[in-house]
Amino acid sequence: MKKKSIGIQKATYYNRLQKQGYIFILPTLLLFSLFLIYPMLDAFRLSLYEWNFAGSPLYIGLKNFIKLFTTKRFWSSYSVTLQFTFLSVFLLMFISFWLSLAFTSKLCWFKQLYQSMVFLPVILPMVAIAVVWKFMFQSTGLLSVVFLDIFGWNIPWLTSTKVAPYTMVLVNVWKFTGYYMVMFIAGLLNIPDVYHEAAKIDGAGFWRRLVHITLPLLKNTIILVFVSCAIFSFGTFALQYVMTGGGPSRSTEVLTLLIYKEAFEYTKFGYSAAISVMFFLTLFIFSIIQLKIFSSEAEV
Amino acid sequence: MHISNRGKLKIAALVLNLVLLIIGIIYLIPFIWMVLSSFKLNADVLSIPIKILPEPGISKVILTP
Amino acid sequence: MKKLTIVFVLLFLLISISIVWAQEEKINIVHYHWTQPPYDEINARAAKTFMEKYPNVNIEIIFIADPDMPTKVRTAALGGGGMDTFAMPNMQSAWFMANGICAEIMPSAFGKETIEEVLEMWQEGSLQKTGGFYNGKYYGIPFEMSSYVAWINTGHMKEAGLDPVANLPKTWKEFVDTCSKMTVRQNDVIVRNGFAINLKASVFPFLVLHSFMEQKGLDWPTEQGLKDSLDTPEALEALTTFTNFATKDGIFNPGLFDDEREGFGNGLCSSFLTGGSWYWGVLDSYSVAREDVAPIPYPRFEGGKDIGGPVYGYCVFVAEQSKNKEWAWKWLDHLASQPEAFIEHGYFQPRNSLDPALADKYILNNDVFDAERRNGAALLASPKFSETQDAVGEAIRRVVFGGMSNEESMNALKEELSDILE
Repeated sequence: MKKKSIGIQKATYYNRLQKQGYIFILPTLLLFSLFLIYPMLDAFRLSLYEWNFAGSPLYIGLKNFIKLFTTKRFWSSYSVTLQFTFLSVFLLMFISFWLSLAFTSKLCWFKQLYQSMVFLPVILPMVAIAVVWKFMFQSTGLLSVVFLDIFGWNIPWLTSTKVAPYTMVLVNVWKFTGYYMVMFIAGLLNIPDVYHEAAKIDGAGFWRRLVHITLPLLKNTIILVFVSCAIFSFGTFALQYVMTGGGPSRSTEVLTLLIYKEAFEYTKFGYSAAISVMFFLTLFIFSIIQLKIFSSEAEV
Repeated sequence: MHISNRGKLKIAALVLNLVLLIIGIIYLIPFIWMVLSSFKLNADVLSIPIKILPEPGISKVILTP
Repeated sequence: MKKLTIVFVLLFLLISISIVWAQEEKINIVHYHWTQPPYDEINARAAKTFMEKYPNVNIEIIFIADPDMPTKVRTAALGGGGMDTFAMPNMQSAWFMANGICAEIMPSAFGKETIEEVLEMWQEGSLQKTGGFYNGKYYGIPFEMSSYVAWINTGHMKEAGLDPVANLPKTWKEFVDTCSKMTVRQNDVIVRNGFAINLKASVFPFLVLHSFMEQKGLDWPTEQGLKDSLDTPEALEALTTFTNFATKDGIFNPGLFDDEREGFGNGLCSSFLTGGSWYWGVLDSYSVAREDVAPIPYPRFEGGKDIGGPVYGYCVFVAEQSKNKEWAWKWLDHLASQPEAFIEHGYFQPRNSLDPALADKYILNNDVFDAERRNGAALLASPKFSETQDAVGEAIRRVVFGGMSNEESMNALKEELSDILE
């Protein structure tokens, strides 16, 4: 038998490895398809029907979508979610970036301690956090008393339609700062000190170094934080459900909460599926846009 | 006042660490409140005026249904 | 070594088969019930005594938090199996009866021949009031019948210099006056509510507003009557009276606490409108003493109808999917046959076997509760109850939290309801 050249031997070997790889990921792929892909596709199908969980679904075509485009409740929920997402993303990225800079600077003495303190909220369960903060926000709770005694302000944290959305952002930022801070720290540690030292020798100050060395090298991390923060904040649920149940007069009724209510309280599963299709489309379009904008700049 | 470069660095470090400590404590306040509240009786958690520390005598808390 | 493993495997198989075999002999009944101390123990005891009486039946009670009941029962019912019987309040039960989840009452399981004979076991009209009757058929047997009365903290009344008997409010105007005298402020913030209600869960303001509307002579138990009533000036007056509690009268600060039953029990509010005779049992687990509390009939409107607080109840049903319907009904009959145990805590079950003297003995001021129950307004029985109650709750919340005017909110409610109840 002719002995194949080393090159072809390597090629078939890698082909085999690849086929074996597929077999290794088969279990996860099956679970993923069963519990993620299939329900998602089924939800798309369900959005074209009217179904109240008992009896058979009734096909009504795009009526659900027409209904939600003309309902005020959907649009108000959508805008509440968008407001929450924008504010959360901005504040989270801003605060966690500066904290990560502070925690990686040489001036910082107890890095691990501070990092742990800020990261603690991330590991606490959201429901427990929401309950504790709810008690603190009540008219005689810790925060209200502190603000009243020190500043003389009586802030209606959870009872004013104007203040409640900001309260939600506050708790959300408190919870997730540590998470994105860790991501930024990882990105910062990847920047070799040599660059900073060389720049310092050349006489660059703090801001110069930040803008010209740190930020460009952190680009990938920033994109990662931005995208994951946006997607995660858009899908916020437990916080609003536990703290305000939709808020004083629907002012904190985020999209996921509306999906839940329409499905499980009003038993309008078709309509609820239509809302979740809109939710999916929003995030899908967002992901595509950010892929287009940032893929050209990402390092291969 | 003449402060050497090393001195300036020390002061900056001090200020930075103080600020970071305060931020860290602010982040911990709800957690501390949660732990303290878990030792209080139901009525004490929402009492007026606000009670920060639980009543002494934890055995009372444990034995009360 | 190999032989040993084979022996162990065979032994394991033998044991597991015998366990499964033994289980198959038993009839399993799974019952979904809402959790409310101190009544959980009474229900658990009923299961034990039933299992002792019929050793071939195994009862499992699954306790669920009250707000989760409809969702969990719905999922269990339509998940196809694993639930034989369940309890449901009359607000939600219409949905289950309308959608074929419930099985009709089986007279043979009660030892009777006709449905009328089964009905005679309970107070007349109680199945309608507690939500066991829908569209001409009977599906559920009553488990609780209550009506809301007004509860007042007479201790606070005495503090405010009021006479705890003579000054009890009879009209809504007097109610507001009394409550504002009992409201306590600190630095301009209300720290003790004169009145409180949980506005987050729409069912509570809906029930109270329902009574207001009935007192004004409007027909809220039917869908058409509800829709028609929204155009009348009386409906607007009723809504305004209620929302004024929070906005103008200064007796209610919604930010103080959420749960008014807990707030009242902790002395943080002086009155509330969402408690039945069962509240005596609940009050015992809080710091306010029974002597400082007085249940009184719902205040009326001057010139309005003499109708009390909303009457509601819970029924227990057998699921249509149950494989052992006869045993399931036997179990429910047993579960609902301890009215004496419940009445001790003030929990009223409208079973005719209950000695009326016991009700008087255990329910303080039973004359109040009994009268209100007879006078009370029956509720809307509709599968669209959840949405309706949410829309009404939202109408109230728009005014209280959103600062909208009562007229605007009423108009928005009209739009929403014509959509829902089309």
